Amino acid sequence: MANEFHQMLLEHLPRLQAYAIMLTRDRSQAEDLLQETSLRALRAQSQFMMGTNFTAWIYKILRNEYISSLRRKKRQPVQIEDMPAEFLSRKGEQENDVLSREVIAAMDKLQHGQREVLILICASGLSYEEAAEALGCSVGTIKSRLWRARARMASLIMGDEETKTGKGRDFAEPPREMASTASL
Amino acid sequence: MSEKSKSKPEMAAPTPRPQAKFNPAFDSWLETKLHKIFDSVASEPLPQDLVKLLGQIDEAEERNKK
Repeated sequence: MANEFHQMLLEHLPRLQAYAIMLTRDRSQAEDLLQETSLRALRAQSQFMMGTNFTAWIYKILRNEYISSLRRKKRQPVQIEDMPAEFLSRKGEQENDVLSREVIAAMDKLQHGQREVLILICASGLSYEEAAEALGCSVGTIKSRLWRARARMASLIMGDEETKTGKGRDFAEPPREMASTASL
Repeated sequence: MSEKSKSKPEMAAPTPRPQAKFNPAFDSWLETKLHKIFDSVASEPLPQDLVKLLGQIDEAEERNKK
């Protein structure tokens, strides 16, 4: 690649693609979003200051493009029932598939801001600071949203009573599919 | 209840804060699960049209520099 900027962009594309798919739940829309984000980033590369956080900068561009596309097309994210099975797991991972669907179905019930923070931090691995920059809010807001998102997810997946009493699904022992991959 | 307290307008109930449901085991499980979903999608090939387009832009910039 010709320069450092292009190299950083290329390195981020796989994770940006995953972020776009998780936001849109639609591969075609995610491809459009990824392309728009890349072109916008290239046009704006003179505005990026080398040495600052490229990850936060590029995630912010993708997120802004996503919001613009929702406004333009008045699209709603695809619901879990409409998602292709291959989105969630590869063949032969039925247990994975069921658990993944359960997790994503629960995410659908979160407030939009909480879902975004969960995707950025828990799924994509951004730091609090990077997520705050990408979403244009404070680190405190990120932490608060993440705390609420986790609590809501626990409530949705484990059930309220189970969460309060500690009964029900035992997450001290990871589900079997996690245990089987823990050594990988 | 005193007359004074009766005459007070009823205040809207504050928005209840989420119950404290801190569960490190669940949080760890959830994070692992979300990472796996994310990583499985991130490991998929990129759209070839985009890769080709970026290559063309790169080449054009190189030509302009010369």
